[in-house]
Order: sequence, then C-alpha cells, then structure tokens
Amino acid sequence: MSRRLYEALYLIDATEHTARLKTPLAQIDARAKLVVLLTFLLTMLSLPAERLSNLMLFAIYPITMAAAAGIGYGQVLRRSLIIIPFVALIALPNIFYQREPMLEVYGVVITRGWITLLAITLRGILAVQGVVVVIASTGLYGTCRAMQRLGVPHILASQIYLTLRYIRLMVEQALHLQQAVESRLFSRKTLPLTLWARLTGRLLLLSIGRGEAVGRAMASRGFVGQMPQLPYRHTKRWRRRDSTYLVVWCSTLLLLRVLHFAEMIF
Amino acid sequence: MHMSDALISPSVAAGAGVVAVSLIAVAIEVCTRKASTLNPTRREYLFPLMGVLGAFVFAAQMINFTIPGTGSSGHIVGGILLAAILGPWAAFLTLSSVLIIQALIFADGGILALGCNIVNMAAMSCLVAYPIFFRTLVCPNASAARISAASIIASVIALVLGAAALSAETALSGVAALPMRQFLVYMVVIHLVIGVGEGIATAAVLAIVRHYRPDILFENNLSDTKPTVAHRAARVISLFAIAALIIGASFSWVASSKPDGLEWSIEKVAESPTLANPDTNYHRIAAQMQEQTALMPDYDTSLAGILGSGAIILGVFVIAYIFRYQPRR
Repeated sequence: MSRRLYEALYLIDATEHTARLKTPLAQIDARAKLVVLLTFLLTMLSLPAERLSNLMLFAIYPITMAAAAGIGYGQVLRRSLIIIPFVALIALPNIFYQREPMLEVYGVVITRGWITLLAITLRGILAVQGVVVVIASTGLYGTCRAMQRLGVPHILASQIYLTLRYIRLMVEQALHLQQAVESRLFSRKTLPLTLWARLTGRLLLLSIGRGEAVGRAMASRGFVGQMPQLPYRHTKRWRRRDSTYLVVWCSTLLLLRVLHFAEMIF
Repeated sequence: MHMSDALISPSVAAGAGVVAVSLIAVAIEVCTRKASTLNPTRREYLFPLMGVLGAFVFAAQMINFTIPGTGSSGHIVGGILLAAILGPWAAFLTLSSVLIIQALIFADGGILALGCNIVNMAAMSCLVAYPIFFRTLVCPNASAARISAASIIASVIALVLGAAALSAETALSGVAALPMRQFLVYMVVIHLVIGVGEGIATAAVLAIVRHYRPDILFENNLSDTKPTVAHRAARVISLFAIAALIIGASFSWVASSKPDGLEWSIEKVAESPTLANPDTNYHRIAAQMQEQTALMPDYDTSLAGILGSGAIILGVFVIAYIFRYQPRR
C-alpha cells in the first residue's frame, strides 16, 4: 500500500543523485537540454502514425542520452513501460477501424490499425524515455532553475520550487501516518474511506501547520513573497559545448523528421 | 486522467498550451494582487502555504481508499479541496505546479501534453466547478450535509468536464481512430462514478478540517478578489482562447493536408508528388549501386524500413553501450 510513496521518495533521491554525477550529459546547460527535449517531442510527435520505421529511428535520442548520462537503458525502458496500458487502451480500437492492408509478412497481412497501434505505443514510450533521461541528468531543481532562466514566470517557478522542497517532507509524513494505520489493518489492501479521510485530514492539518511555520521562518529571513534570483556565481555559464549540443541534436532531429532515412537506406 | 504525449498532435498541444499559459498568467496576476491586499503576516504565508499544500496534494494522491460498494480503489485529484482553502486562482496555480512536477518525476502525462492536463484537471476543477457550483451552493455557515452535496456535485462536474475535454483533444489530434462520440460516452460514464468517489472523499476531508480548523476553510483567511481584476482576467482569457482556436484551427488545417512541405512544393512544380529520376548514366549507376548495396531490395518498402530502423537502433544501442559513461570506482 505504501509502495507509491516509497517509489516517490526513491525517484526524487535517485534523480538528484544522477544529476550530481559528473557525466558528459550532466555538464551540458539545462536550458540546452530542455530545448532539445522539446524539439525531440515536437519532431517525433508530428510524424504521421503510419511511418513506423521513421518513428523507430527517434529511439537514437534516448539511447544516446542514457549512455551519456551514465544511466542503464534498461532502467529508462522499465520506467517508460508504465505508459503502455493507458496509451494502448485508447489506441486499441484502431485495429477495428483501420483495416486497410499495409504490408504482408510471409502471407500474414498486417493492417494499418496494427501499425498505428504500434506507432502510438512507441510514441508514448519514446516521449517518456526522453523526459526521464533529461530529468535524471539535470535534476528537479536544475530543471526548475532552467525553466526560470528560459522565461517561466517568477511566481510559477517559485511555486514549483517550494512544492519540490516540501514534497519530500510531506511524502515522509504521509508514509509515517500510513505505516501507523497499516500496522492496525491486518493486511487489508486499501484503507476504508472513513479511515482514509481521517488520515488525509490529519495530513492536511499538518501541512497547513507546517506551511505557516515555513512562512514565519521565511519571513524572518526576509522573504517578501518572491523567491530571489540565484546569485550569478551559482548559475552555469553558456559554453561552446552547449551550443554544439543544441545545434547538433536539433539538426539531427529535424533531419530525422524531414528525410525518410529508413526508406532511403533499405 | 493524465493525457499522454502519444495521443496528441503538436497543433492541439500548442492550442491547449496557449490556453494554459494564459490562465497561469491570469492566476499569477490575481494571486499577486490578492497577496497585496492581505495583511503583511498573511501575505508572507500565502506562497509558502501554496507550496506546502501542493506537496500535500502530491502525497495525498498516492494514498488510495476503497470506493464503497465497488471493491476498487481510488485517490483524490484535490482541486476542489485546494480551492476551498486557497481560493480558485491560487489553487489553480498550485495544482498546475503539481502537474508539472508529476510530469517530470513520474512521467504522469507528457511535457507537450502539460497544457491539456492543466486545462483538463486544474482549470476544470478550480476555475469552473469550484466557483460555479461549490461556491454557489456553500455559504459561510453551511451544514455538513450541504458541504458534502456541494463537494460531490462539484467533483463530478470537474471530472466529467475534464474527461470531455480529454476526449475532444484526442479526437482533434486524430491520432487514435476511436470515434469521438463513443469515446466521450465511455469517458463520461467512467468519470461520473470516479467523480462521486472523489466528491465523497473531498467531503470527508473537508468535514475533518472544518471540525479542527474552521478558520482556514472557504478562503476565510483570504480576502475576496476585486471585480475589476476578474473582468480583466475574463477579457484576457477570451482573447487567448480565441488565439488558441485560431492557432489550433490553422495548424490542424496544415496537419490534415496529406503531402508534407517538400512533397507539396514538388507537386506544385512538377505536377506529381514525386520527381522522376533523370535518365543519365550517373543516375543509372547510382540506382544500380543502391539495388546491389540495399540490404532488402526485394522486400516490401514499409517492412524493409521497419526492419532497417530496428537494425539501426540495435547498432546505436550497441555503440552507446560500448561507449557509455561509466563512473570511476
């Protein structure tokens, strides 16, 4: 029952840990990584679903990025598989609505519906993999700072930053409460509604109490409702390698989108 | 109900993104103005409280409860609950930041689909269901039964509107072939049931908070928004909504035409979507070389492409594995 809470704690810690490693990808400016990630998503998702072979080539991005970030591709793949049930469920009716034959393999006719089902699932998996690899090499705080430097409004960036700060505390608090309840449940899988309401209500009251305490503590240190910009010495300078990374990957992704390499070669 | 990147087209993502960004801009303006009207002590609390309550919603969404009579379990979205404490615009901003963090940590919903998710979940619950239904039904001294009824109605409406928006976005994207009417019916029916569960859960938590801390509920601790700001907000929203419609419509038009830019240009110039190879010696030799060097010349082009792409990916994977970064031990 507490699996998701443990998983959240693990993911937050693991993300910050991998972002702190001195890997080639971690040393690239977070803004460059975010822009390339957006280009990857836009170019990949704008491909028509029938072009499965072209879509497959976009896997080059997460595979290469995972290698450069020192993360096992197996881990990235495992995390991306969670998307399959939701995406496949919505794309499954394609099999029944798109019955035109697309190709034949040893006498077995494969219809357009099967191709688009595979393509949509692959789009979902690749999109998640791109996000997972970039966030793991940048960290949540690094991403937040990059968003701020890319022009995301100050209040929203502060809000994300503050929420991130207190997620760990709140998840730990929820875990303690849930463990206390679980020890009295005698292996029941989920909480009855009344008990859940008491637990969540208690968590909410604790959160509000903590929010007020945090507000007082921040006010005593001069907080006036806005997060200060990071001092210049704490921000990474844009270097030549960041420009190279940006130009090389954006052009590669655009070429993958425009030219049909798979059909040209084979 | 998180929308995935795989199910939307870039044009729909752009349209929803414009709406979400404009709503966030309005929320920021409203919150800033609201903070300036509060007394200094409460002003200092507002933003840290929003952060901590965002973290609370994040944690609370991971604790499931048994839905009575169904044997299944569910969790809260938290929009109505947050709006009852922070007010609609501050709750919208808080829930949007939670959705952004969920997309980053858990890959719940995609980065491109963030605009859709903010509109479907945060805007529908905090900016539509809460002010129109919850606030109308609940007065400051409302009974527990009235609060429960308002919670259930507002939650059902928020989830059904969100589900309808998700169906429309999926249909407009044209990625899945499921007819919109059928998809809409399934989504609305499922979310009606989930909405009742969410409403009961929200009512139960509100009852507990009302018992222990009645001072923090229904924006008692926050002053009301000035009507001028609301009017300006409505104007900005309408402007951006129209812009989103125009952008969405124009992008969809481009997306729906079958040939891509290059093919279209060739078709205009050569009156055929493909160019014929010139019959020169160089071209004949190149074609012959391609035929000899191509790995699967006799295969169906699509299958060859798929197998070829698979081979390239395998090659990239092997190279990436060999040259992967390995931390020094």
